[in-house]
Amino acid sequence: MALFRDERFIKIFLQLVFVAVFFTGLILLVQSVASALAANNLTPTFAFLDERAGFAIAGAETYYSPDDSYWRAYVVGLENTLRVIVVGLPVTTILGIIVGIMLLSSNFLVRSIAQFVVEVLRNTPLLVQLFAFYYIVILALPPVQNSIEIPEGNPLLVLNNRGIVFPELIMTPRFALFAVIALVGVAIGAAFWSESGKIIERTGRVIPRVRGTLAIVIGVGILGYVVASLPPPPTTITVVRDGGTMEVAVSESLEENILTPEERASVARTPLTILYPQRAGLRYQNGNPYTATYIALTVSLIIYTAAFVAEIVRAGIMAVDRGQIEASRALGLSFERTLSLVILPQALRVIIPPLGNQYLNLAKNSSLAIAIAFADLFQVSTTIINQRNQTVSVFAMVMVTYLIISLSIAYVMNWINGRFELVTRDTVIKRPLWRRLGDWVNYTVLRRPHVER
Amino acid sequence: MKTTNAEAIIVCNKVNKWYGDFHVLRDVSVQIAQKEVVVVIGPSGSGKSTFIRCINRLEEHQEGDIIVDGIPLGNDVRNIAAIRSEIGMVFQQFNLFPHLTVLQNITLAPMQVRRQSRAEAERKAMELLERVRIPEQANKYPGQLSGGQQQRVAIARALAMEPKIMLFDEPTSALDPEMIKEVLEVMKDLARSGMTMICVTHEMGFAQEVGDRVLFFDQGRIVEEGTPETFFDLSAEHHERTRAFLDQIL
Amino acid sequence: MSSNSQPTTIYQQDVPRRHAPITATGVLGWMRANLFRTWFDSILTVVATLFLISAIIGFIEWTVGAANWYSVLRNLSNLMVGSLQASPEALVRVNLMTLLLAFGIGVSLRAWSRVGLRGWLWTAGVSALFVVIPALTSTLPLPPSMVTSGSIAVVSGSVSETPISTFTFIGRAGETIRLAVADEAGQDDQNLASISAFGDRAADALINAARAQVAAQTRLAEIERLLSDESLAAGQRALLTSERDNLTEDVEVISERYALNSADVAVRVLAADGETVLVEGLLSPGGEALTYTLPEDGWYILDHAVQAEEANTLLQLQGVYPVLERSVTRTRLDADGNPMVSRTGQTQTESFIQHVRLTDDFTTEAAVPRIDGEDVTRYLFVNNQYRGIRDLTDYLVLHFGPFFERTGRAVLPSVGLVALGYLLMQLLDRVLPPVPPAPKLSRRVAFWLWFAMPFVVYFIIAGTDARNWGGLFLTFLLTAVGIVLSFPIGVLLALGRRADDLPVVKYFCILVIEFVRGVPLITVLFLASLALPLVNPALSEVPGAVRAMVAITIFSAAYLAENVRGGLQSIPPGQVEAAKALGMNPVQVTLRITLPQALRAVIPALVGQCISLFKDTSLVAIVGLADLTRIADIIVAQAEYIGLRRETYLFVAALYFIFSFAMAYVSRKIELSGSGAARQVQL
Repeated sequence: MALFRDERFIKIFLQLVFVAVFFTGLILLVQSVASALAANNLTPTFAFLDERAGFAIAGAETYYSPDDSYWRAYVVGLENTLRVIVVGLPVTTILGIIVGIMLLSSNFLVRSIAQFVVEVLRNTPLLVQLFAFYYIVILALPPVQNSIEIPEGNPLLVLNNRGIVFPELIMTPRFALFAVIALVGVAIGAAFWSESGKIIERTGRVIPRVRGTLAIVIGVGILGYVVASLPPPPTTITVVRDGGTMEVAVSESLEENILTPEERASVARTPLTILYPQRAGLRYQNGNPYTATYIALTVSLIIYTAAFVAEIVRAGIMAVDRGQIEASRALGLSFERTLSLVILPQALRVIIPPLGNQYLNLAKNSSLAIAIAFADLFQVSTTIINQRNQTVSVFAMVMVTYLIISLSIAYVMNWINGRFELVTRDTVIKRPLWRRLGDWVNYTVLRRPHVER
Repeated sequence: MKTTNAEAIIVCNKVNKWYGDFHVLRDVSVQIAQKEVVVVIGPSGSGKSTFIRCINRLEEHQEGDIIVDGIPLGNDVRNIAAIRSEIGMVFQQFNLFPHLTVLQNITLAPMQVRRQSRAEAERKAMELLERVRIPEQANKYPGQLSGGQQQRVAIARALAMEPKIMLFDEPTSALDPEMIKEVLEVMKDLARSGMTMICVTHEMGFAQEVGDRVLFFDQGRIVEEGTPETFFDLSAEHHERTRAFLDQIL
Repeated sequence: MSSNSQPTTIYQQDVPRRHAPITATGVLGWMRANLFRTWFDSILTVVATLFLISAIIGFIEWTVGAANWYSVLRNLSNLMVGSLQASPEALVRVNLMTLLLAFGIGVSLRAWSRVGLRGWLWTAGVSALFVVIPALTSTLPLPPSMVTSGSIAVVSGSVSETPISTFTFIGRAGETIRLAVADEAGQDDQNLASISAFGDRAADALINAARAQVAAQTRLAEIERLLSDESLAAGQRALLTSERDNLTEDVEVISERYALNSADVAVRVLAADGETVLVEGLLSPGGEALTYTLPEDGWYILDHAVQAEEANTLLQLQGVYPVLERSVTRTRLDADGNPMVSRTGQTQTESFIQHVRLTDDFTTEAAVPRIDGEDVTRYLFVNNQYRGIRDLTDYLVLHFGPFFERTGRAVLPSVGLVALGYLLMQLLDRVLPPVPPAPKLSRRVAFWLWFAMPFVVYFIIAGTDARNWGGLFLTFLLTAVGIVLSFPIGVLLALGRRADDLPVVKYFCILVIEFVRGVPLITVLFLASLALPLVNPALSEVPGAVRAMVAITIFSAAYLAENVRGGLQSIPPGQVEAAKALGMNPVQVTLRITLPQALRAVIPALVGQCISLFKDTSLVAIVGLADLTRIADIIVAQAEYIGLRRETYLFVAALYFIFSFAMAYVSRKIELSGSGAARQVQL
């Protein structure tokens, strides 16, 4: 049996055996599940997704009702999950960097306090933190009728045990003019940026490039805002009420607060106007409301993850060789330049892979929403399962959705990581287009850098 | 040259190998007799390491035949195992197992592969340590030894399998100058004891002293071969690549 | 070189060595470098100091003065083992397991580390706390209970409370109770407001009303002071005046309003039958106290009546404390004390009501006394929380001492076993010293002990009902099982992922690892609890804890695989080549060369994973398992502990913190000691 002693054959044979065993097991499993489900009249199907959901989702009243389909409910849940992630990632990063810098502070007290807080956050479960934050902090806020308004009257922030409300920024018809002028400003700024770059390169003259560009863009923007605000606002406005139209004085109507947000926008003098939240009975009208559960989940996730990010930032900056800093100071670079040209580029190389893992953790941990009944992807899905017993189909959807979210984050982070990698002899500079798909697999799955959680 | 085909213990015939599309070994044919000491030299990247790594199948050649002690080297796992247990190898980076003591490093393979008893393997290991002149280091970990001592342990480890052939892959390149000598001494002892050896090395002194034959590799092929006397004789006739190389090193 | 005509200069005079300037060394130097390096640093230091001081003071004030630690104190065993606390046999098993683990820790301490004199002193000192603190605090007097006797309903804000004239309490044989009129408290509102004691509802209302009154008086004085300022604007003056008018309308002196302590009170202590009068007397303001020594354990009834038509008198009782009602489930025992087993083979349990005295562990199972067929009102915890800001003495005697006493029962034996394990191994190493290169004997013992530990622990806890597992015990169990079982799976997955010449296996492993890592743990837990029964209906019989273990194992294996892969990647390829060149086959290479090195290299990462898993097990609370987090959640949902979330969560968080911080500490030690990854580099 020379065949069985052939290296190549052994490898193929082993894999065939593996595939055979695996698929037999899989088929047996699927069969037994399928038959058990069929016996209970629960054959997996996605047909139910079009049916009426019948349950309400807190905080989504304006765009979802129980009469909508299960699919719509699922999408609302997904949107809620994404709202947590999209807000969570940047805020976590900023907070983590701030605390990470505090961990490196030369001030003993600042450093120690930061260390203590970070250790406490890292060594206690997120779920306990979430419970504590939700029940002890958020639910201890006053009820709606006694909401804390900061400042009172026209509040920029309203706090109560149902959540928080921010004012709404709305565009008025004057916004178009402002936008045109502002865009012209951006164009001039861009021109200045590239021209000054050329001059710097040619002559080596010192031109405040960043500051100059910012000044142009902001200056023209302010000019546009003022110009757009110049025409006097109308003194009267035609409103439609109870089917009839009537003309009312603007000043009066504003005082009596009878205008809809759209009408108020149309008579405002500035391109942007703020709609302050106003309490109407047991709820707030106008403004952007966020439910208590959303706030609790997002803030807890941000604080918890930021503690890990802070530690990563600290370790990353510490990892930069002291000699690098000394060398750059010896070259006469200023501290800011040393930081931006030498320390950060090297620290980022150490920071980005574990940071990506923390982003993944934040995304996945958003599923803890179910503990405080925030209607995220997973919470909505369990509700659907409870109603329809379509465990297999719904779980398949949930898992695939989470996988897509995770892989997207992993892809972006690995792409960023690739841009920061040291160029060595092995670095492939240009890849043919047809290998892009291979790259994608590479970035997301195969070459995912190994880091501890 | 004292070789004839009848005594050849290693026969390589038109061996070819590619890394991807890079042709790293080109029609390498060579025969090595028992007890012969062959020194392989050449510029870096010339394929000399790849060549000796092919002989015990650390690298796979794609074309041509390699026959070691009558056993053809191919995909047959039993043949590969048989050949590997006849060939000892010493690496540039020593490659001692850092989690095992010196003694365990040496006894591991005889016990695992040759199924020797612990007592026998340890007795043999102590003998070998005597031979490489470091018996007192038996219970230390590799990390506690100097580079030269580590390389001598590596030689003892290879010898513990009682190989017929020893391959040396630049054994002194990673050593500090003062340690090179102690390793070369051991290698010379070994050569004098009649071991068949193939050494990739930059130690020209060693080549001249104990080498029976010199193979000069360039760009994946054997450019020149001959006895050390003729090879290192600048007045003799040489390939232009050889001459360029010799001009650099002598 | 060029100008050697110039003579050399010789400096004969030696420059003496001096100390560094005082601002560069010592405390001052440290402060300059670490606190006041720049003006910005100095500001930060001041701000941080103020913040720290206020935070610490605030925390201590809250802990001592306001926090109510009963939810923790009363539920210690619940938090530790959950429902297992109902079965004495299970408790024995859990304790046995704990002691065994403590012994193992002691053995390992000796095997891989050293405990110096300082370590022993610390251990002894900390252990002594658990003895000394309870001993000291038990000598302190307990706070009194304030009881209102009277006929006028007390109004405070929107609350109106009528004094209750008869209530029941529990006591031990030989305890002396002391009944008196609260003379000092009744004198004026200032005194009334500053009461710190237990109190019934009416007393509470009195105290609250008095506080409001005192606050109003303070505000009035403040307004008068402001109004006396001539330069006050007219608008301000009007506002203040109207506020003063409002206040003066409301203000009434509470002690006068209720004719406080103006009348005598007739008191009777009755036996539990509600008829036998044990002692009776008349308590008058400024008069003698009535003392009585209780004859036996159990229920007593206190009956009091104020001797006037319109009067309230505040009584101050010593030895009478709130009683807590709790429902207990435990194994039924037959006459011989053996657990009773039903025909289906399950141990029978029984549920009944227990009453526990709030201030200590004194418990009675006797029924509440009845008079005229009705339960007598208990002096209940719910209605009778501690009133006022606690002083330090009351905090020590009510919370601090009992906490140390109760935790000491678990901590002291464990510490003892750790010490025993350590000393035994020390003896062993001394009697049978190791011959190099063989490792110390204690190390072998430790290795085999931990190797056998999972099996022994399994045998110990297999005798308990998995449905009753709970608390910290369950949290630990899930973590340990997760790590131990996921270890072989994770290693296999990691090896599979590295098998470049077996692409099918490799991509299968990648698929499994990345799938599990890509979804949240909670989905895997739900899948195990919802979908497992679909595979086979028989699986729905499997206890939830076991199903969670399956989920956690799979989850943990994927992460472990990635850690091990990191270790495998760190091994230079020369290692495998050398082993191959020696003729070892792939299995031998993996088992003898790559894995041992890879695992050593990833010990810190593995401990890190232990910590993550330890925290992540809290998610089983969401699928309804009674782990530490869920027990805390259950406790605060009970009527008698409502409003005690802060205390409960804080305690639970502290528990999690202690253990995961300890694990991190050990990991750092291992890393530093170099028996892990560092060995490769260091040696």
